[in-house]
Amino acid sequence: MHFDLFNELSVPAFAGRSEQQVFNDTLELWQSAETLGFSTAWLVEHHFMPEYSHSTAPALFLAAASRLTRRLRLGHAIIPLPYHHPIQVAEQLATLDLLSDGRLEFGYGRGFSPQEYAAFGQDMGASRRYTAESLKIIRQALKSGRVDFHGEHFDFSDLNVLPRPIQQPHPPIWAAAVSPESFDLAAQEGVGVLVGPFKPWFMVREDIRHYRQAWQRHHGTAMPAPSQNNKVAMTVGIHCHSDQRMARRQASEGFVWFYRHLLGQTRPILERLYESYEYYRRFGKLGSLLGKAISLTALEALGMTIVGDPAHCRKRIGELQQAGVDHVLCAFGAGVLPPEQTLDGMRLFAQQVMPDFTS
Amino acid sequence: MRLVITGSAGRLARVLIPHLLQNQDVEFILGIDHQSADYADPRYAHRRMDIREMGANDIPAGTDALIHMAFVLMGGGLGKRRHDRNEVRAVNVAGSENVFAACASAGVGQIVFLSSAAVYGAWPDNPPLLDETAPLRPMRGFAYAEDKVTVERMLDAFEHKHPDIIISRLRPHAIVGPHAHPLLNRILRQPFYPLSSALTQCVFEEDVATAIVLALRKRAAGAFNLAAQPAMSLYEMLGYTQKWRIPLPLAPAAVLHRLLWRLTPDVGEPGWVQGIRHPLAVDTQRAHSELGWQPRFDLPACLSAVRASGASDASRQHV
Repeated sequence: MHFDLFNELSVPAFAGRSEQQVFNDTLELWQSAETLGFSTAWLVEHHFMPEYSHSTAPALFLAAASRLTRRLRLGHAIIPLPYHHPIQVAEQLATLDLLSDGRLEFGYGRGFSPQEYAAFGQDMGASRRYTAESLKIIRQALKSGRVDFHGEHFDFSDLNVLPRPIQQPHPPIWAAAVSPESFDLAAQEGVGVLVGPFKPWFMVREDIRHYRQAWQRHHGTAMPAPSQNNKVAMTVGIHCHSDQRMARRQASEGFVWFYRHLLGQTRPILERLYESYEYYRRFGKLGSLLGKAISLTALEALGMTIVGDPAHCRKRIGELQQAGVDHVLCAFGAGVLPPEQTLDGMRLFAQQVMPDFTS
Repeated sequence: MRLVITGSAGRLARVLIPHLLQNQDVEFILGIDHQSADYADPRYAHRRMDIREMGANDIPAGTDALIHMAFVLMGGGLGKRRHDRNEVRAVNVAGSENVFAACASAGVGQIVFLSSAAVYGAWPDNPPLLDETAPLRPMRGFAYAEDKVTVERMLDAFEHKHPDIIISRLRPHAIVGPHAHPLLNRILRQPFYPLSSALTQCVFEEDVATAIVLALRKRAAGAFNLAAQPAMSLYEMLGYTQKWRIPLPLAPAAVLHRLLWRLTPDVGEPGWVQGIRHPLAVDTQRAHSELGWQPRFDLPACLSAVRASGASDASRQHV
């Protein structure tokens, strides 16, 4: 089992940190993480979501991180492909792979915000096909350095796409998976799944089973091919403290803020989603239920957070392992607690929780 | 079983061919190499040939499998041309492409490609043990590893085009033993060790030969790591072969190495020194479970064998 970091670059007003402080603190956190045995640091891409996420240009942030770290792998995920030109995505991925000595991981998704779609001039209804074509182009570019593609959205004849990534045939690929259907699609594409922080655990457990079955249906039981990735990664908000009550006291305000924002960002959107997002709609109802009574206890009960002492964390991580989670994307301090508390929690977790699962 | 072996005059072939000839069901072996090699057994025939010139006609009718081992390792056999990257690449990459195309035309049922654990590269973020699904990430400037990766990539496409041909890729770690490249044996028999605690491995030549035979028997498709366990640092390794160990800072070692490479191919191309800096150890679970591979030599046994062969090797000159 791998333990990773998950970051949104949140800048909540109540925390009193500037954007620049948050960026610097996060880079420092990543530098500590690599000596503590974490595998990968993941960075999201969001737009127009003040306080909740200021990570609008993750490639630039990752470029900086690539030169400040040596062992930590860098997760560029999720890149919402509909907001980007696929050739530029491929060029940036390859550049980051070079800068990081082949430590890049690439996760893609479709994005879910109508505001983002509108701002980037994209049609949400066409997003699935646009994403599928983009992915094909990016794969071709990374694999061979040549793109020859004739589709509905793109038409390229023998482009020479540079630079060439270090990892061959390409960096590991992941897909954002929310609806059951998207788990099936990811399996079909032969890519790993990244589960975001906004899904209750009882659903994710089902999804993982679904993904494994779909993988077998599409690819059998053989070892994945060099271009495939069959791993499951799941995001969880984590705070660890030697004293269970202290853990909860420290985490409470920040975690509730983060998850209220997260669900707040997604709920109005979820309600207006198009037919291909039907699963969101059902989840939307659940989300509004949650919005009224959001508390640390509710979040813990839904399995979206792990807050407590090392024994509690071990128990909960054990459940994830049992269900087949390969990577736990830890949102330490939900990305909003004071840096010292976050770092202390991360250290304690690395010392007293991780060793049980990494050997 | 009727076999063709490229690189049949090479170091590993000298272990593999006698090993194969011990099996009664091996009816015939055609060895292809740009140098000569001879075995007393009438079932072995040799053809001197550059693999770049090989065609489907050079593969005898009814050949069950081809074992592709011809590859330029650390400038071996190329003399001054070892410095010509294009020449090395031409033999390794274009030569391999030619061999695979010949197999497809001749209807060979299985190709066993001797790849290398070097395809993963020694990088700071490598996990303790790399399994076969890890991305291929050769060290830049290490021609041998770069070319192995290029050939593996070529095989990905070839496999796709020819789903009826079984492709086995074996990825052994550094091969040691009486026939292996003298460099690796020599490293283990001198007292200097680089200041690095990165984990590494090696594998005994005979165990690699066994794995090849198993891959043929099981007609096993896919990639298989081969290495002796447990992984250790070069410092720990030298503890098995040397009484005294003298630490050597990496940077001056690399400079010295580059100078020596100009003089003699025996020190190996410069890229590999970089490989000592960071860990490169592989998980061999798949070879155990799918091939039934049980290496006779674990890592301490490999090292003891290297030490024991020290005296006899001193008088031997490699060709």
